[in-house]
Amino acid sequence: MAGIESGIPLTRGVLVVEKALCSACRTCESVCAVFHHGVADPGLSRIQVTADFLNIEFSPKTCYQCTDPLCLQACPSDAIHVDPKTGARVINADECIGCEACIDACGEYFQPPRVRLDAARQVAIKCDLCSGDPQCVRFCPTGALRYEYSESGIQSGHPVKEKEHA
Amino acid sequence: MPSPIFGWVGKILRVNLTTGATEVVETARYTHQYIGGRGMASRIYWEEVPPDCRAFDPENKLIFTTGPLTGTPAPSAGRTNMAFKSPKTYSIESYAHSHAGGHWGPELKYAGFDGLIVEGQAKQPVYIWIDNGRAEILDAKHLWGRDTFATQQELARTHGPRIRSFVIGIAGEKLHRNAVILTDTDSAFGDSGPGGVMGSKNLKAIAVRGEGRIGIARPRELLETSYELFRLITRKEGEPEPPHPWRRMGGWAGTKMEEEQQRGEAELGLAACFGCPVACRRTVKLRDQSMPAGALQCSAMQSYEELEKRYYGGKTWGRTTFRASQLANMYGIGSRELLWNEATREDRGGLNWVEDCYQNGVLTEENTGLALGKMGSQEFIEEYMRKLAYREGIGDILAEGIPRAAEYIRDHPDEFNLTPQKAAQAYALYEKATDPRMGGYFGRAGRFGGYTLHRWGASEYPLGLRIHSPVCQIFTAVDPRDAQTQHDYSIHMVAEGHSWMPPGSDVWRNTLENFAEKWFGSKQAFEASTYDYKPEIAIFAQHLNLEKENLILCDWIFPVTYSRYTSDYLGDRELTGPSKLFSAVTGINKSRDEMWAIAERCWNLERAISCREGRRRQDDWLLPGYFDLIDQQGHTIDREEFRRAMDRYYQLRGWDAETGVPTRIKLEELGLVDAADDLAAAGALPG
Repeated sequence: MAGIESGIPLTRGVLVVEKALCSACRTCESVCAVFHHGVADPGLSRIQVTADFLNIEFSPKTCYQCTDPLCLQACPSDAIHVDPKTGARVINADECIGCEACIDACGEYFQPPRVRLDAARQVAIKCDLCSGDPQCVRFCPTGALRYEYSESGIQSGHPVKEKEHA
Repeated sequence: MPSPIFGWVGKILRVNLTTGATEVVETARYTHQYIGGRGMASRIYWEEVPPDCRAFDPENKLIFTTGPLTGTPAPSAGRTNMAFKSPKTYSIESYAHSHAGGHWGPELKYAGFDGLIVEGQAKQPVYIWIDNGRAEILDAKHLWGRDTFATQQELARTHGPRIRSFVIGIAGEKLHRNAVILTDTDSAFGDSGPGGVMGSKNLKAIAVRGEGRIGIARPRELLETSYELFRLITRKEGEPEPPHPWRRMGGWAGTKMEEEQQRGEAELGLAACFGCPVACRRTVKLRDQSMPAGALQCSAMQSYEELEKRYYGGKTWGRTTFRASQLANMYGIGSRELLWNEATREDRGGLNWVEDCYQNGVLTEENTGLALGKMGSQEFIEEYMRKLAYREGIGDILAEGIPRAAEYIRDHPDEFNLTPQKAAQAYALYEKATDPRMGGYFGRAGRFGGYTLHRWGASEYPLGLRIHSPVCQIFTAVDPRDAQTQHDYSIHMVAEGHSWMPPGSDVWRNTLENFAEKWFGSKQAFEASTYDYKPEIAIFAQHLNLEKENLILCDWIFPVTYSRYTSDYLGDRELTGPSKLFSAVTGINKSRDEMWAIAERCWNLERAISCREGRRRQDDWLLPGYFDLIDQQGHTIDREEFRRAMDRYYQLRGWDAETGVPTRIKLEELGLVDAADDLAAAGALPG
């Protein structure tokens, strides 16, 4: 089953957020960075908890693995592929030239952009669903994060969802 | 090329507010012997804060430390420790440690610092801005006089929404002895009054932004060790158990707030400190926005709920309780100072003393200007907190904390239109409550710190067991401040609050007996009717407490002695969780026993600090009201039994039983030769 316009296969896995359960502990962020990069640095997390602690607004921002993946389409070096196992839109760091076109494309629709720059390596990073065992879901202590998987593919993100502003 | 460091980020920032100078101290100077957190802070205090300095002197320092786990995925690794000369301990100001959660500690590490030492005194209000390895002292005239929420909002407007700030409110500015240093809406260094010390330095806030990283020596091992602990704390593998203990308990069930939520007037939730699977704070957002949104913790919630219920009727825990705790947070006042409970309970706080004084004609509506007859109303608490924070009228006296306020009233009867006899009752009520079942006041700091009566002091335990008492008596006698170790003890040793094994049940008894046999060689070790094993248990618990506070982890979670999710309810069986986390993060392999040896060194250094500041064995005693208490089974504390237990405690500790000062042999064994030399030079060392 293919995406609406792009012809790119739908993702089969997707992270689902139940915002009301989020306690803003940010375990997901620290686990994500350590899992993918071996260091504790929320700036390298592919999931981002936007938290306004004074107004009690907590919201984990996850990559939707969009039906029409704007990041993938914007990439001039074809560095973003579809993971055959999960359908996740995955960046190959060796092919990434650090141009940030994917970040801008995602940011057009979703704020904060779900693709981020690893400034030290000058490559873009994004959620790869940990090849089907998302560590953020595994550790989330409140149940605010879930992993949904469907063999037949899941309509998600752009253009299904409305724009999200910062 | 320097070798990579893991866990710690390598530098401690020193900011001198008198000179405006900043410098960097190498963390490695302390890590080998003290690891971080409370151990490292006490070492810096030992080296840098003169024993004769007063709490509000420029020579006092605010020593903030994180630990090697702070900011990593280790469960609950979001905390920060402080050491300073406390203005709250009574009758003399002395060393104290204080702790806070939130997200500031991790941010400090991402900014490149393991700790921060603030010294000196600014000429005018300033704040410290730490931005990715750089620090500036900036003008805070526009922030002075603002509450803690407004101050943080203004700082976020200036430096961006991602910063984290520790700030003081009006109470800290006004040198309240129970003022806190607060971050977000409710996480604070609440114990021992650090807010006033910060105010005495003209320091309004410490704002931090960090975008750096913390190296992890063995990332996969850290994740798997953390996961095992998460699993013990929150859920069985593969079972999406409702994970939150308070949610399991029903959270808001049976409260006025729950009714508000059902009517759509309040939105309720949970908030966690960085990396914490427990999320012990509840959040409230009112639809009509008549009060700011906020999170709050149990001690704050308990402070006014019974009074609210008594005044308004109906259920506990409505807007008035929320507002009372929020006022404490916004003004930056320690909420335990507000605590009120029924006379039959032992966790009675500052408002209990005020009410007892009112009922005995010591404090009146006339001599206080307070509507004391309306205690429990929102109107009363708004006025009380305002006067307290701004030190208006009676608030100026109360801002000194209950013991000193009681002393002041006793010594100044004319100012309150009282006879000397009546005024003396203010102190008598503080010192020794008249009803033996009543106890003293929770917020009462004894000489050298400890609260005389923690809630487990003489047992209000459901079955009338004296289970907590003997160990907690020792804690209370020897701790440098409120004996926080009791919290660890209640939850992690005798399994208070574990709903799946109610105290007194067979499963509870079996579990505790298994634990007692494993660690103390006797199923009877926790038996409360005897002092046998209690000094040993006290030392064991003190070392577990320091092990996690050096790293730093939270006492809501560690040690993970028990777990709902194992077949026999035992948790981290060998208690190796903290040492495994430490080894995985830093790459330095330390066994559990080595970690406990470091904890012993830290405990002895804190004792050396106390002794240098004048503490001796006669100070390690319970205040008079304690011995008059009668528990539900009719027991009282036997002075001789308690004295013998203390003798054994000193003996096991390697301290001189006569003076309570550590011996040279013990100090040298722990590598504290300089502490032995300093104590000897001061004539304090026995032998």
